[in-house]
Amino acid sequence: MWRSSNLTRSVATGFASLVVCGAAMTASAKPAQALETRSYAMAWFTAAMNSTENDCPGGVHPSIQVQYHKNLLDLGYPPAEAAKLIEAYVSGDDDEQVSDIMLMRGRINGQPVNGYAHPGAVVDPQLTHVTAKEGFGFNLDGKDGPMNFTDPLTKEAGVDNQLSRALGCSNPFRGTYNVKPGLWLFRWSTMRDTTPAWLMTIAGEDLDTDGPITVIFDRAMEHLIFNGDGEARPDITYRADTDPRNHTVLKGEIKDGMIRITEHGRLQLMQDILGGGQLVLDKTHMRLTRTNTGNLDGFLAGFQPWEHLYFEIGQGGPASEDMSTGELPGKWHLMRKMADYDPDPSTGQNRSISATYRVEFVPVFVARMKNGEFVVGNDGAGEGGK
Amino acid sequence: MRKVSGFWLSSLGGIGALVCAAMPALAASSGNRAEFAPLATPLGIQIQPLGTAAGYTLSAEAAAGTPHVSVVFANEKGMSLYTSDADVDGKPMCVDECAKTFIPALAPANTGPSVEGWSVVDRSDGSKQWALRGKPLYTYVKDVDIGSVGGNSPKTWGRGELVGPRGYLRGPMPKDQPLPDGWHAAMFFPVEKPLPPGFRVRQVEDVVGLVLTNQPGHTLYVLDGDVNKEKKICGNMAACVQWQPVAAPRVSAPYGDFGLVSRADGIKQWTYKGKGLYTYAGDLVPMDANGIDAHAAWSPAYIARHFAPPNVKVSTSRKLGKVWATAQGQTLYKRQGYIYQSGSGHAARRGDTVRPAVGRDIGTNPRCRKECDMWHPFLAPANAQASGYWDVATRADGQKQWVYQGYALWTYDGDKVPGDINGNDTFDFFVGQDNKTVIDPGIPYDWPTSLYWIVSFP
Amino acid sequence: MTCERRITLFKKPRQIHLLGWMAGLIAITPSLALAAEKPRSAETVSPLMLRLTSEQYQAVVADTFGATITLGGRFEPDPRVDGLLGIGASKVSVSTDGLEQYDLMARTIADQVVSKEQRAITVPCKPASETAADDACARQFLESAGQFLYRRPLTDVELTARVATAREVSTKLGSFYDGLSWSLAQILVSPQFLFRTVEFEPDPKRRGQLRMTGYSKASRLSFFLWNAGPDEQLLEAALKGDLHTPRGLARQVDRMMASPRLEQGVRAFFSDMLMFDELPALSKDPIIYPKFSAKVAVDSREQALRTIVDLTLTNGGDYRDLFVTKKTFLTQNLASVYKIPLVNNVPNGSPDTWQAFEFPANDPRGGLLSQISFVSLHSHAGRSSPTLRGKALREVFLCQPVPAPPAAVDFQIVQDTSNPVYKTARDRLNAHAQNPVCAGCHKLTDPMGLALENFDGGGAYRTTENGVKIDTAGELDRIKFEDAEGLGRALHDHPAAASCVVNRMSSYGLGRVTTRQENQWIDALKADFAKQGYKIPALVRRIATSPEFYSYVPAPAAEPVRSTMLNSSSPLTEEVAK
Repeated sequence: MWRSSNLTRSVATGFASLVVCGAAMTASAKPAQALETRSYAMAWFTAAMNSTENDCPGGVHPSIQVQYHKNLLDLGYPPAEAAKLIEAYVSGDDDEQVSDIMLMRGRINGQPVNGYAHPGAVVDPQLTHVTAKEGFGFNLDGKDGPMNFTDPLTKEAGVDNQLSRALGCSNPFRGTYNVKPGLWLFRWSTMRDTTPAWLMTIAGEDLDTDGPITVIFDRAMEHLIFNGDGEARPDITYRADTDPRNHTVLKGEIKDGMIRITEHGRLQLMQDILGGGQLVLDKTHMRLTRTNTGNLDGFLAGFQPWEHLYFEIGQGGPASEDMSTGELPGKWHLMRKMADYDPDPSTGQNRSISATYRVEFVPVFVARMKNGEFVVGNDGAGEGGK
Repeated sequence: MRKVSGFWLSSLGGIGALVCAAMPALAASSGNRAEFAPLATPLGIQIQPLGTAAGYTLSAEAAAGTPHVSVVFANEKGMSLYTSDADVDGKPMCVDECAKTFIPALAPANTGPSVEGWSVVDRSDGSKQWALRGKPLYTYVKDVDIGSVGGNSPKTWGRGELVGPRGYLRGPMPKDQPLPDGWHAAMFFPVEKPLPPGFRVRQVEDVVGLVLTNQPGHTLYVLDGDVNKEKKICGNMAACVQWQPVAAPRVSAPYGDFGLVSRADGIKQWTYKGKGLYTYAGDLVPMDANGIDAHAAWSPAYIARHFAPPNVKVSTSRKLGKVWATAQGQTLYKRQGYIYQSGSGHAARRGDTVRPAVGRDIGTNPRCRKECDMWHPFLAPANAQASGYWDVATRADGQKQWVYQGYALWTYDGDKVPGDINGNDTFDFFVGQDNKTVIDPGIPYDWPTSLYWIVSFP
Repeated sequence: MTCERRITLFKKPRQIHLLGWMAGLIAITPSLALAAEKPRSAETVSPLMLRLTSEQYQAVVADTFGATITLGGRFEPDPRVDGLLGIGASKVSVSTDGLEQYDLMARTIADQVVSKEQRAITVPCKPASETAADDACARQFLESAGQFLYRRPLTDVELTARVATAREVSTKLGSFYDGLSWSLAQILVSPQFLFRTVEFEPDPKRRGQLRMTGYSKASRLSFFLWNAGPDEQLLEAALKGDLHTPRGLARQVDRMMASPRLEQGVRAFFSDMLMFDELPALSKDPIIYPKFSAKVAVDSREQALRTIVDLTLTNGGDYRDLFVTKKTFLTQNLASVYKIPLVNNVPNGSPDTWQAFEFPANDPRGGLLSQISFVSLHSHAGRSSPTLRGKALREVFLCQPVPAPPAAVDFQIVQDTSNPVYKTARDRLNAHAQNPVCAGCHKLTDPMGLALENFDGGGAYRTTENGVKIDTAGELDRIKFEDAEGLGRALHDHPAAASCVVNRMSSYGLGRVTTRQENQWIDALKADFAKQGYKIPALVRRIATSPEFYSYVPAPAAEPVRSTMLNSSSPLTEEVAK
């Protein structure tokens, strides 16, 4: 239930009602159009995967050694030579020959080109994709078809999550509701120590009851702060970056204790380049519930430019391919095939892919720029604020 | 007689009072403030980082790990300068055949205002040659790439021949070629200056120059005034506690330019060239210099300051500290090539690595893919001259563009007020979309790469 | 201090190994026999030796040789006696392990001082040859450094012996600086360095009377005001005899109180009085208090000290206002524990900064009692403790010791925080206090401690416990209050609060508990303190300029151990007597 016994109900006009030092957070009569706000910082952001046994026909993607062997054959290497090269590669005695070949495995006009930078010039290795029926997310386009999922929690049909279908047969990308996929976990964990945090403020008349709300996303100017146990620390104050590329305002609602976005517009948040440089979601959907620690937990979804995603996972090149992501041009081909939104007018190729993310938020204070100063909204200040 | 004496005495007292009242103003206008700190380079003389800091390394970690550890004076083309032991008393001895190997660094007609340590000497053929601290300067014919020393290019600096798009080490590493006997690179940094223990000279970006720091690297400041009148000078308690005297050991004796003053409050304080040394409490980490404009009487303890074009200033951005900006306050950006970093750090202050070679590779063509009409080159006057870390590039359209540490500079229309950095971290991915087109981001790359806009830090 | 006394010191049973160590050192370094040298004073009784605390040791070394010198060892814990580490320093010697560490530190420091990097400024003179002894240069250095390390000039005998050591080692090792290092290390491991010794001499102005030597006065003064050794000017004043005149003494006191170093002295005192040495090691259950960390503990100490310095020194305020002030200093880290928004206007990745902060007038928080440093320090790892807090309030702020619990007490009810019947600490303590054995002491502590129950064991504010509203009403020695703010006000108005800080500060400066003969002086200090508006600087000055602060006091004969200022008129004794 969306209720907190620890929160003081303060009222304010708009979002910038209090000066930081010496703020008088006294209860007072509600003026007209008064709004209550609560703010959060995103503590976790990983792809929402629902990996199960047998969800990949023929099994999950092979090891990189096996894949490279196939790639060599695709490039026309005689089988004996290919086998010898791979044997030397596995034992580490190949003097990086295989890495060099894989680096230049693209072909344009018969000439070798960098395969990671030109994945379209690499023969599609025809990697498998997920064929399961259940997957987390939302019906983003109102349709239901053979490539859609049913959400195992909400039972909603027509769920669009083609990203999980495209990448879900590769081990680093597999996960469940309770187990975060390895690669997303690694990327988020390394980024969050320095990259500015993502913020969300919810505003409404009474955030302890059902009703309409406004959901505001911003990026902070500072990175997440943590407790000693590595979890995001609650009640830290973040400054919302004034960079307009980060500010998104969408309508939403609280219903049956769940926070949802109802205006499915575009969400835009800058991100560390390790995370693809930017999170862009069209037809944004979200649902969040409150945990017993006061955090919010749920899903955020939409159609995402898949070029960002390929860059995000492909930027490590052969090092990543060997150690974490697995075959990379193959994933480019998968995402290209699974992309389901925003066709290029000239080529018809869809430029975006439906994606669902598992998110967790921790309650914080957010200060926004007003008249040249950073000012904190009422933000449902804790008990000390009364 | 006594009355006359009294009159003159009181007049002297009155004059003295007037002088004392004027002292703060006098103090503010003299001493070691930035505009009076010696410049590091005259017009036409650049400085170039050497080795891995030149930016041709294979890994971001290596480049980030050795920022400006070794910096050489260079001519207007960026080629390293050398001195010869044979040149005594300022007379250039390298002539004829010698001068074909070590080529005299000729000074331009306009060398601008004189800079301490720099002079021009006459050669026997009537030409004018640069000299540093009386030693004539030369370039070396074997130096081909900017950042080379002794013919050893940073492209092969201790790593052997580069192979491939960025290069992997192949074959045995060639030995570095030594310089001929008696020849030395003219180094800007490290500085040869005797220092007491606990002091360093560092390039502090926010100060735009070489300054004294303490051992951990905190910027030091000098007070233009009597340290025992510090409280009166700083005006109020809140201001006073920001300035903390650099304490000397009780057993210590003066050392070169570093003297000592025993304060009434029991602290024995270091001075530099007669002025009390301080740290500033608002400097939170090494390389901070938040005390620069905190009070008129305190200024950084400069060793030398860097050249900056007249229409450029250091501005404070909202979230990334000090950045270069136009005189009107519009942030200056550079176009940078992305290097995959294991682990983030890019978004941290100064988390981006400066790689002059990459900047030169990109040049004045930003290869923009979006919002291209929002970006404008920061143009230089036709007669602009390179100096220090600043260079001038000629664009395809013939105009001149300012270059800082190898990177051409730009402004962004999306910045509306001073402090805005709304163009920061705008990425363009270079990923081929088909099997027909070879992409060209203008920089070496091993895997999908990107060019992005980032603010230009001092 | 007599030679006999020193020998007695080294013959204590647990110092037998120390004697072995010292004998070994004496064999190599004859000058160590100088430990037995008779001082100038003809006859001294009631000598006082206080071991340098770790902070004082570091300050003396840093002041003498520079802050870049690292110590390379660790210190034995300083014991707390009669509520103060400052008194414990006079009750403790050096164990074998401790001497090992001192020896390690001495050699580490000495090696750095004479190293190539440092010697340019730490050893200003140049020897005639670096590979041979040079008595003149060695003497110059040892004389200069020695005066700061010993807090007085070395005697001729001491200096000669140190120079001899340097010569002997320089010659043996063929290195001037190695010899110098050895000799310096000797100084750093000697009792004259490790202990502050209070010495007396015949008073030329009062026949038959003793007075504290000038250098002992300088030492007492500088450790009291600055928590560090005397500087050149103070040593010069001692040499000239200025410290024996009221005017000369006042001049030095005023000079030292105008120095920013006074803050270090004030911080050291309050840190001792408030038991902050225990904070860095404080740990909490990370599941119950996930926000608490070592950093929070360290920051909370700094918060309290900044609050104290700001109120008492910077703004010259009333000491008692520390219990009610709304003004404090916070970092973002602390602010999140307090659930207070606090903007940090620095670039991403910058360290946390301290900012002045004022709680709103109607905020229930304020005063030292509601700060994390008090409520979390006096709590358990996984729960709050009204009893510990009440006890600390009495002992720390009122100088009223509370008896320890008797053995074999059953704390089960009190510890059971998930008890379905006794949901709040008040309920549990009431149940516990049904036992008449327990009731007496809990009456002394719980009425105050329960007022602080809005602050959990990690320092965060709460209004309920297990779903039940917390009742914070209570009383302090018959002064009733409704909440923590009221408790702060009651403490502010309690006469023992001001009286206690006077007792504590004078004992701290003296390094011992005051005697009955000094009661008149203490009473005068208290009266002045009140008259001057309870200003700490005024109290400091009054103590530092009092003749009593430097008086010779004979050792009390067979007096029972007394705590600091428990007197017959305190309500506490009345309660215990009931």
